[in-house]
Amino acid sequence: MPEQDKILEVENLHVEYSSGDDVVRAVNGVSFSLEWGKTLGIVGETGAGKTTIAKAILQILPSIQARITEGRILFNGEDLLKADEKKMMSVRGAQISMIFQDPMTSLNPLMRVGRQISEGIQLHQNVSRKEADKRAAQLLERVGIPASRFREYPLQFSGGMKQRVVIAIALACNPELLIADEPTSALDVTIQAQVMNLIRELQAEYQASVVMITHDFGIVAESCDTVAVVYAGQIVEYGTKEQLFKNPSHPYTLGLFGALPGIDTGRQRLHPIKGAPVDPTRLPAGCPFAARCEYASDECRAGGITAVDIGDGHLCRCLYAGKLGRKEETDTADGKEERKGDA
Amino acid sequence: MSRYIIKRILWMIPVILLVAFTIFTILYFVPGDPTALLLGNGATQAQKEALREQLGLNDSYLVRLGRFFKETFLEFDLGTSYQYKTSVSKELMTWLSITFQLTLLTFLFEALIGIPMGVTAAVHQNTIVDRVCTVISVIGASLPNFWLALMLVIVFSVNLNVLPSHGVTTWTGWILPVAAGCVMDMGGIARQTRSQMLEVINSDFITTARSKGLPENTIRYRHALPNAILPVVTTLGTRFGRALGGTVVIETVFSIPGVGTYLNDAISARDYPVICGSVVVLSILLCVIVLLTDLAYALIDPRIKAEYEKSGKRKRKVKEADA
Repeated sequence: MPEQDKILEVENLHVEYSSGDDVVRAVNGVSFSLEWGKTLGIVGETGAGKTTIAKAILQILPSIQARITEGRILFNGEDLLKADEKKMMSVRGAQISMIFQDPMTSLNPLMRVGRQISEGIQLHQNVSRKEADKRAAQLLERVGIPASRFREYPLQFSGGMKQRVVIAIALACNPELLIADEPTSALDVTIQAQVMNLIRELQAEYQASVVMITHDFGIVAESCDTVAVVYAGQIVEYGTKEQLFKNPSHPYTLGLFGALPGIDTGRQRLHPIKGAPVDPTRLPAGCPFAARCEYASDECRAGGITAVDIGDGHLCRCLYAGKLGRKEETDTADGKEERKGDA
Repeated sequence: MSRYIIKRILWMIPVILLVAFTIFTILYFVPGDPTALLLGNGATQAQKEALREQLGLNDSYLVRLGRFFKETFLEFDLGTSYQYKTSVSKELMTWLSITFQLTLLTFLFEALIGIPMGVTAAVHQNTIVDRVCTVISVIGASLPNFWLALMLVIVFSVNLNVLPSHGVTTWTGWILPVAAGCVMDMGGIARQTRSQMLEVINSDFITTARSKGLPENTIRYRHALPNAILPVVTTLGTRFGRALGGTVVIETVFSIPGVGTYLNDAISARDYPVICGSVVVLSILLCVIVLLTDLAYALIDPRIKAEYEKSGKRKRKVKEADA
């Protein structure tokens, strides 16, 4: 049993990007924790700051533009934000590793795939090139690629196979924590299931804890223990999978569920969340979701909204936390109007 | 791949024939009489006429062209210099080998200093390091090489008296010509490497490399640089080819007996065999360098290699379909 039951604790993380005179506040006070061997899902739409959170943990944000302004990232009890670069290099790839979103661009096109796997092994496990290559070939086999393709280049691989290589790279040194950043978003639907199964299998085999970043509630339902819903760099709702699916409480979470097709609800029409995500260079003082929220009041826009515990650690960052439920499916008149508007 | 190389080598043949034809024709029409320059001011019209007859200059254009092609491409004989009465091929080999050494050394220093300078500037983008590299590159690129060469001679040969001012008989003799020759293009190489690196350094696969915990230098030189270097390779290749025939300024300042000087003198003296021979040989070298540059692409980038291999196959299929 490790010294503490939490492998990862993120507290009040703030990340800013500066581009020219604009400051993009990408992550604004995010806190979550992950227990050993469990899976945390981070859900949100594009631009919500999910990938930034992941890269902040590994400290692989683009150093020129991005800045972690505040917060603590405790990995096995040690604050990674206080660690020096040398320490971080020994953590990256060895203890924490990452699966990236787009397999088409996340492999070096000029390097043989085998070498891309083995260079991390050679570095962290302090073995000879030959031994590292041998282990990398075994890993290739493990993720379902014949070892004979060890010396090929990424251009000779399909998208799904490239993602398998990326997974092999991530697992090369048997990491304790695996961050999967939308590992299936760029893949065909048929390949998605294969890749997700592979990740789950390997997670069990290597006993890794996983941070699963996704916008797909299906993946959350299948593989996560706890879920954090992220909007505009804040966690708007946080709880176990059961709490979140049975009792979604934040209007944004409700909106996300409303935008999903369901088989059993008999729903004719999906309800997209109106509007576009808030401009992260001009975050409002109050709730960032207020502009798109149908329940928003003047109080919401005024600010001072904190996360409220609505039962057993189920956190919701909303003034009306616990007072809202799933919307009834009765507004057909609305639907017709929208259709006219679209045409 | 070998199919592609063979194809490219075969393509060199018409290119070189065309170069030979062009240079010969230009020289035919260029005014000036080699015999007047050879015999000096005191020569009589009859003497000149006799020499013209002897050199075959009175024959028609087609006869002379045919003779030039036959000697050059069938007998591999570049003829005899009018001025020096020596074999052009032999002379060319000695002069060319010196120019080749000078160009190669200059090229190596350009690449070995310019590329790391560009990489350093890129990874320290917008910091003082970047600015210093930029200033050095811009100053370097703006210094005319003849001026720099003369300044180097004044400082190191005349004032400090530590390096020879001319000749390449000892290794110290190479230092000033190489320094004067490489500074100008080094700046350009550094600027180009910097801008290419900046495009690559934010790629996803660099983030992947970083997530493996690799040291920064491994990321820069093993992952980023090969992806950034192709345009720089093109520049280096082109510049190498150009420098072979065009180092005449440096050669003149430092009294280096190179092919640039040889060719330049031959042009003034209307020494047709030397001009034609040098141009043909230089064009062959240039073709080889261009081919080597393209093969370097394939060596660096497997996608380009695949492209080459594919292009070889496609051509064959078309031919089969025709037949």
